[in-house]
Amino acid sequence: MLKQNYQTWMDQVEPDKAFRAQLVEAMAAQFDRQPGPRRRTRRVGRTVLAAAVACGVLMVSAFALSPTLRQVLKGALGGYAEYAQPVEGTDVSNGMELRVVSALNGGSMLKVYAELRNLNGEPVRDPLYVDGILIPREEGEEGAGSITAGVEWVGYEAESETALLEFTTWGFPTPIGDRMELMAVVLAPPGELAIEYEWRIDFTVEQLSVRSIPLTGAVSNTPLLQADLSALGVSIRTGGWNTIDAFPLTVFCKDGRRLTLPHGGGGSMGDTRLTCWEYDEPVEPGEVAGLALGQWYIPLKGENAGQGYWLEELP
Amino acid sequence: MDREEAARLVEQYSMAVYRLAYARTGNREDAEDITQETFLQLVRTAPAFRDGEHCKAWLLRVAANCAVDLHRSPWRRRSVPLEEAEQMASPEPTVEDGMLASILALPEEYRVVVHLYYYEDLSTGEIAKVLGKREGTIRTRLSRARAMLREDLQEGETPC
Repeated sequence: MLKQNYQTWMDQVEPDKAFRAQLVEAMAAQFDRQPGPRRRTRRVGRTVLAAAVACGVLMVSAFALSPTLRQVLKGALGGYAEYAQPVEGTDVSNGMELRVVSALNGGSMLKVYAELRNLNGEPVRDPLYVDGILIPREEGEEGAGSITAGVEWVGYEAESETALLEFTTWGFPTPIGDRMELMAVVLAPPGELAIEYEWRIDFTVEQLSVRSIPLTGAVSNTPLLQADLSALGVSIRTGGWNTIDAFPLTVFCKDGRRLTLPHGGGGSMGDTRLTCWEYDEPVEPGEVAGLALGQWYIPLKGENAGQGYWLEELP
Repeated sequence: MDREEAARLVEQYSMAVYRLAYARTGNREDAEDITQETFLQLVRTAPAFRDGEHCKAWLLRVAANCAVDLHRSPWRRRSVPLEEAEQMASPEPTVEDGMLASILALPEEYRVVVHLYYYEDLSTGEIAKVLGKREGTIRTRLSRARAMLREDLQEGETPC
C-alpha cells in the first residue's frame, strides 16, 4: 500500500519542459567549452608554500610520494604543511594501490591525502570517479559514524603514473579520536552497479588541539549548543534539523584580524547538527576572541564566553 | 556530445534524477539545481557506460552526492520545510495521503533510501553501492524509516 501510494504520488513529480530544455542547452554549452575528454582536475596548490617551511617537516610518510608529488602536496597544504602528519596504510584492489600518506585531523574536520597508482605501471584511468568514507574508529565505538568525504585530485605525476587524492570530511562530532578507517570505492565504467575497486585502510592520525566552548541562545530558532575550534576551522553544534549553513561566519582574532568564512557545511548526527567553516590558512584556537553568525556575536573569552547577543551592525 | 545526444539523455534519465533529488530535498528549486549539476558532471567526466542501467546508476549516485554537497553551499536557497512540502506551488503534487506526508517528514538521508527502495526498486545492496554506504547502514536506515513511519501512523504493523 505504501509502495503503491508513494509510486503514484512520485509519478506526478517531474521537471517541467522548460527546465529540461534549459538543461539540454546547458549540457551542449558545457560540452562546447571543453576541448575534449579531460581528467577531473583541481587546483594544484591553493597557496604557494612559504620558503620558510622547513624541508625536514615530516608531513608525509618517508616511504611514500615522489619528490614531485611531495611538492604538489606541499602546495595544496599551504600553511597547513606544518600541521599535517605522516600516516601510513595501504590497500590493493584489482591491481590498484591506494596509500594514505598525510592527514590533518581537526576533530570535526578531517583531510587525508593518498596516492593512487596501478601496480602494473599503467596510467590511472581517466576519468576515474573515486568516492570515500572516513570512519572514526574510537575504541569501543564501532560505527561511531561514517560520513561521505569529498574527493579531489590534487595532482598527477606522469612519470610514475601516480595520482594524489585529497579526501575531506566535515561534520564529525568531537572528539573523534585518532584511529580512522578510509573506505574508498570506484564504480566500474563497464559494469552494472559494480564496484571496480574498493579499498579499506586503517590509520592513526593524532587530533590537533580543539577548543570547545558551550554556547547559549538560538539563531533562526535553532539552538546553539557548542563551538569547536581547531587550526582547520570552526564547527558549531546546533539542536534539531534546521541548518545554519546559510550564515557567513566572522572570526574575530585577538590581534584584530577579522576573517569572514563563507563556506558552511556539515552533517547531522542524531538530533544534533554540525556546521563547519574552513579557514584558508591556519588559525590557532587560542587566537580567536569571538565569532559572529551574521549579526549574532559570540564572545569566546571572559566570564560571558559562549553567551551570544545581537549586534547593532554587521561585524 | 551534441545537442541531440544531450536531449536523449535528459529525456531518458532526468525524471529519475529529479525525483531522487526531490525525494531528498522536498524542494523543486533544489531538485533542479541537483539535476542540472548531475548532468553537467556527466558532460564533464564523460564516463563510459556498458548499458543504460549502469548510466542510470551513475547518475543516481552523482545526484545523491550533489544533494549532500548542496548542504555545504553557503549560498544555497533555503529549503522549504518538509512539513510545508504539500504547499509547494503548482504543479507540485499535493500530499493528502497521511503515509506520504509521513515519508516526507522523514530525515533526508532516510527519504533517499526509502525512495530508492520503494520507487526505483533497488535492493539494499544496490542502494549501498549507489550511495557509497555499507549495506548494513542502508538496512538500518530502512528499518528506522519504517519504524518512524509506523510510529507516525500509530500502526502496529509494518507499512509495506
